[in-house]
Amino acid sequence: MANKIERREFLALMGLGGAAATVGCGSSPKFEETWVPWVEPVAGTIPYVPNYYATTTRESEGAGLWVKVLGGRAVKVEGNPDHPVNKGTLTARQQSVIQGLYGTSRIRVPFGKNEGGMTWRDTSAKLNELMTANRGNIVALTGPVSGAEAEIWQKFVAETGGRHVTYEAFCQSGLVLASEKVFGQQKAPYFSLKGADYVLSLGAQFLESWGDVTALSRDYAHLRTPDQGKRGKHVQVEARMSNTGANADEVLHARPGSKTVLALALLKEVAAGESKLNEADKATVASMVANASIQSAVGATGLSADQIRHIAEDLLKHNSVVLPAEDLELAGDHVTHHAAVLLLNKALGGIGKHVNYSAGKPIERTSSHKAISELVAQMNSGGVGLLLIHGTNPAYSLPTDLNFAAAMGKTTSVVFADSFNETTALGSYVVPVNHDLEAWGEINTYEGVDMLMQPVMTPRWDMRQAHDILVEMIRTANPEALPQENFRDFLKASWITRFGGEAANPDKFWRDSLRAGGRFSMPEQGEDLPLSGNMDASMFANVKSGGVTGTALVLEKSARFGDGTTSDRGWLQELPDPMTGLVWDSWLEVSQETAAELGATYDAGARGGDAHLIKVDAGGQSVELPAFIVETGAREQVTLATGYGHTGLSETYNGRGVNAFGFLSSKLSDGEQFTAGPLQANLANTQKTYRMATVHLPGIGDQQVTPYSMLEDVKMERDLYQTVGLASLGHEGGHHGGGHYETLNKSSRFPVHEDKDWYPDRTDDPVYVDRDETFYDDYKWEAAFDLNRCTGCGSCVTACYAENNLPVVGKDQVARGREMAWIRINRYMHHHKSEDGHGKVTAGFLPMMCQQCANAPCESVCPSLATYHNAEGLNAMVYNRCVGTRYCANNCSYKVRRFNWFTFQWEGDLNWALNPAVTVRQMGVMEKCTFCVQRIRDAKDGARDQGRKVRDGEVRTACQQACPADAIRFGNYEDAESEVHKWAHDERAYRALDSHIHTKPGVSYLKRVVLDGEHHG
Amino acid sequence: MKEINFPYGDINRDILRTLEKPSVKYLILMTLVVSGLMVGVACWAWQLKEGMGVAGLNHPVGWGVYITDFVFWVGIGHAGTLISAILFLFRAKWRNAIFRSAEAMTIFAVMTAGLFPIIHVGRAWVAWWLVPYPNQRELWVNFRSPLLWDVFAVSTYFSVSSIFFCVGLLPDIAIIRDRAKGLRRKIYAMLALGWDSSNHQWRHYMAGYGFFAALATPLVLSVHSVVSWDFAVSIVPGWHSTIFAPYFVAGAVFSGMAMVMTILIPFRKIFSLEKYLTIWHFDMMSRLVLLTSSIVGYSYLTEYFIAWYSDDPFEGFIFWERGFGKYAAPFWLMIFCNMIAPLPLWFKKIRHNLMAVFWITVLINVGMWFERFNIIVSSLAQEFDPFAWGWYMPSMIELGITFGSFCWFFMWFFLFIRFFPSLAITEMKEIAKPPMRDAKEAH
Repeated sequence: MANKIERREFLALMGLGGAAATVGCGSSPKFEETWVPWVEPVAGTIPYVPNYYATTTRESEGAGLWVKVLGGRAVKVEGNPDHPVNKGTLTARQQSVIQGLYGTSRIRVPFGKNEGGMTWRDTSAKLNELMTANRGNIVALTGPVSGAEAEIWQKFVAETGGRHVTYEAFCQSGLVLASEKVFGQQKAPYFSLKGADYVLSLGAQFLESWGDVTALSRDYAHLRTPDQGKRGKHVQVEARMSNTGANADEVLHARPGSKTVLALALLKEVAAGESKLNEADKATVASMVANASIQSAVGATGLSADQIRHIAEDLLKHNSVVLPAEDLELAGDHVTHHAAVLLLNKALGGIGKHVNYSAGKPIERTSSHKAISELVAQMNSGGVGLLLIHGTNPAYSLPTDLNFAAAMGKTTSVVFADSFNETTALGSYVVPVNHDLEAWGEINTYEGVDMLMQPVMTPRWDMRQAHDILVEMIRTANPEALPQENFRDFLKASWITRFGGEAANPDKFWRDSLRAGGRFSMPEQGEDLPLSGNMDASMFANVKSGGVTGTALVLEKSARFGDGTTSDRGWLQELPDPMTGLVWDSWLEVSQETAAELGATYDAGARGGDAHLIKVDAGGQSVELPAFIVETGAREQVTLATGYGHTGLSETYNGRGVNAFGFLSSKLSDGEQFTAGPLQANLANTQKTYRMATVHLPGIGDQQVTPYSMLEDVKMERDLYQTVGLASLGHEGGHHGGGHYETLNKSSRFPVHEDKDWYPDRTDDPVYVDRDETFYDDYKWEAAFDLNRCTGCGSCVTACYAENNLPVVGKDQVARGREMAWIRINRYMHHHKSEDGHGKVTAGFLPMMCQQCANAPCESVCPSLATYHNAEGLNAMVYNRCVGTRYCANNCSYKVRRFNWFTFQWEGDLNWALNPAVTVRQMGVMEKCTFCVQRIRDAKDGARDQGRKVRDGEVRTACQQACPADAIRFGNYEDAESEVHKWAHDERAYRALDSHIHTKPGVSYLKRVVLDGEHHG
Repeated sequence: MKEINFPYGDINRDILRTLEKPSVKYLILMTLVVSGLMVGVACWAWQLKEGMGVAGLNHPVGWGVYITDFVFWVGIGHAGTLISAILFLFRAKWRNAIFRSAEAMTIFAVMTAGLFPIIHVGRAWVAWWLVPYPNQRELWVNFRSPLLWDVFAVSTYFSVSSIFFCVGLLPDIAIIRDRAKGLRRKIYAMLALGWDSSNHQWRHYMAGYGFFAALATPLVLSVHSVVSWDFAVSIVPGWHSTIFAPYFVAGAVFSGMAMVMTILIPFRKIFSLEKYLTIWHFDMMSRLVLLTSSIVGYSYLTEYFIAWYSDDPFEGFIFWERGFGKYAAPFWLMIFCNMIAPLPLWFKKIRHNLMAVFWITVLINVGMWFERFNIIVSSLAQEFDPFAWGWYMPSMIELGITFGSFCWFFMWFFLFIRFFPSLAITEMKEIAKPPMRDAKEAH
């Protein structure tokens, strides 16, 4: 099998040549095929010099991608820098597309439920036969489609007499309908934080899963950056603390389900204040919110009247944005809630600036859940002749009470899919189609963001593009209908017709579009739209709180898996959840109070632990879930994330956790969305325990301030994660930062209980003075991380997995503390004691990777010289020379060295995405971050060819490239003009642990800026 | 001296009794020991095939039972050379009866210890890269690494101890040669290197033995000092300490003496050697144990004192956690076994009750194993970055290999007592009453 290719075997296969590439086995279902790379390079290509192709995929939510292709196969997905939304960065989820391409769930041959495996000829004949037999009664069910893809589906349903239904699990129909009501716009607006200095999120987890995380993180980073003693503020309203909430300056713990009441109270206050509304609008809004009041909001949320008034005042004082609650948290009031939030933004003058309708997504590109409910009802009554499904997995994400499985049983269906999932398991016929990286297509996310999808490599197996099959069926139905014989030509013609009007040379225009990845002309600003005249004056009359007494179950959209499309990705399964560190499983997030009531405990082992299984009864469903106790939980809420509990994927990814969509109700909200709302949850401890895997050590190892001893008041803060008060910036002058080696960062309070110098000041010690200036040659590579920008999302972690061939080790090994990540996100909890006696918990994130110490403790203890300091400041690692004593890892103060406990395997064909520039390590060898030395090497080679030095910014590490918040700098410290040098000399700069153990790390951190009164660094 | 009251004429017969045709009991014991060794071998084979992951090691605890075993066995290997060399130089008469078996124990303990660095490295098949010699691979070693110092310290100690041991055996082998027949005689004749007990030979022999004793003496102190530097030169809080060298040496002597007694007490009973290994010997050894126990106990207290006095919060934290954290159980076990359990030895009555002494020494062995475990594991588990803390529990594979190592050690020891005199015949004769005088007195 292809996954077992060893080096020798690889060489042998190369020798055999391309002719021996595929050994077909006829009807055998074992697929005894072998892939081999190019033996003879294609003219014009240089072996091991990658080509980059611009494209996009559905799985990456339409982010612009550059796919790195080596020797004819895709090896890595990077961001398209020209794309107006992601601008070259990617979230972890978006990067995982490559694992979808090579994933183990891919389908290889067409098959029918009764027929078994089918040939393409039979499949084609069967499809045409079904189409002809059911003409007039065909339904095409797809995800949201646009551009040429929408055209081809329209053509298909027109020619075959059917209809087209779109479905996505997280639709935006509530927002679209609210927009229509408030502004008369049938669009989902583009939310932007650009230029804002106050963000109030009523629950939207905009740094994880809500909206365009890349763009929002980028603009959020700007908002947080101090400028002349000022920076923006972020207030998050949520019962528990999400990753987004952990980044906020203030978290207001409002009860679940109370967000609309709060929004209306705020709207009333804001509209009555110095708002941007004109007099007429003021009157309209005032009449609409007449019933709302701060008192009702106080009752619903549990916040104090002062707090709410304070927010309203702050909103008016600043350039503010209000973001809505998560749709999953809203019970039946999607339109009401979104309308209230849109009106709030209108009153704050944010329409156009922050809520951009000019770039908005037109209603045709969105979907609602009404259509799918009707379709399923129709299927259940046997009213659908033939159902074609493409690009969506309703069997996984539809509410259980819709009975989609039964409906599928009553319908002849054809599922076009690249991978197995729950829907393919129900289809009468399953037709394997190209993965998006092997296919042509078009995705148009926002107005002016029109992206082309192009195949970056030949398909892995003999399979076809779904749209090509459509073209064939259309031509069978009506030979005159289409002049083009395949979808590529159709796409090209459609693209040129729509966008290439003035182009002198349409072919060149097409090629240029492909090269660019599409056409990017998104309007950055919209208009400040007037209120539509036909708002329902009683829209807000009957708004009530969610009405849950006791504990509510709230569903959360997973940042890693979303609607479950990316659940079969090892990288994402092993990417720790930012707040809990959990991997490979779903969990019920419970607060400490709830856990105490249930008698639930968590018994920590190495990096995993035994949690109690809790029986959750909510919304007519009953499941057992392991309880993970968090300090940041809310008594009123237990939380469950989507994306787990699959049954139709490949073996490794099936049966992990519980499918949160099981709690959805098919009852449609006013926004035509399925509702989960806060559900009344009855919890019972089953007393059974369940093994969890987390990279955190809850309650012990994840504290910023650790007890120095058992004595309660003696605590110490280690020189790791640091914050600085906004007001103290710019006042301490001189060499405040730890970017210099001269002073040993006395500003760190260490330990808390006394104030003295722990280690001697080595400023004048001849051993140390000037040493780092003379030791290195032309370069000293360093990195700098701005903790003020870092949101802890983990995108860098996945980027490192992709670039450096890191193995995915699985749940069991993570539970034993053997995850292989070279960069990890340390999360520290901090307990503040406020004057009023109410404690407050905050969380901080610290990306931790090899610090490339100049006084590296690891280097001197290696007996075989496998790790050494090179003349460019890198703590180099020679894998092949390592004997595996592990002394280096023991002596590493940052614990960033990773040992190969086994020869880890790449599942299926995932090894085809390995980076050939990085050695794959065998068992018994130590490994760690080397600042992407292969990229440094590339840049130096290029610079040498041109007879110059490497320029600043020429080398970008994989983590830096992916970081949506732009929190990482990398470059030559010797170059005083380099960004990394400047960051290292920032007044906020420090080097982790350096003041204690003088390791002279090559990584600077910039302290997180906290608003005054919260500084604890 | 009243403690030496065995007749000269019985010495050869009594001591060489162990070399006679083995009893069924011996064969059963040997089978058990070899089977146990096979368990260890199988565990190691599995580890070589699968990877180090079959051990309980993880990030951040990269060293666990294997290094604990290594230090433990090196420590056991201390008593022999101490008794044979240092006590020889001090002319302590009580050493003559016990030094041979103690020395054999040393050799086998160091042989056992030497296995563990190989077992614990990730790629055992390239462990020989740690030996510096000019080679076509153009690999060289890092002389700054304490692991390399270890390679030298342990191999030097092993070579010197084994030569010392073999030299000491010469006159006794000659005695066996003289009594053996057939093939055995030929083999022993070869091993005896032509020893004929001439005055000439004895004169050179005694001078040479003295030199060896002088040469081996510093090694007793150096080898465990170097082993302690494996830890002390690192920056791991809990390891980084200047007290480690003397502390480890005392601990090694402590555990080594305890092991000698643990072995000799049943041995003396089984082979009816009460005449030669008397209460007096065990009394003397118990006093040495008591002394080293006090040094070790003092070191524990000093470590805590320094942790407090230095005001280094990381070190303070580690020591607090060691006593009251997750690894408190092995810590208090260590304190009990090494500091409390030997205290009854202050009383002569206890020292003369061999059953009590036996169980105390067993406890000391356990305690000393856990001392190393505590130092290694609890320091690594909670270092500088709290986020990277972790816990370690040995896996069955590690315990299997540890068990195998005990069997390996006892296999060699049992083979030794079967083929070589386990008490030094000639030296016993040195302290026994010469038969001639008896004859004179009879007249």
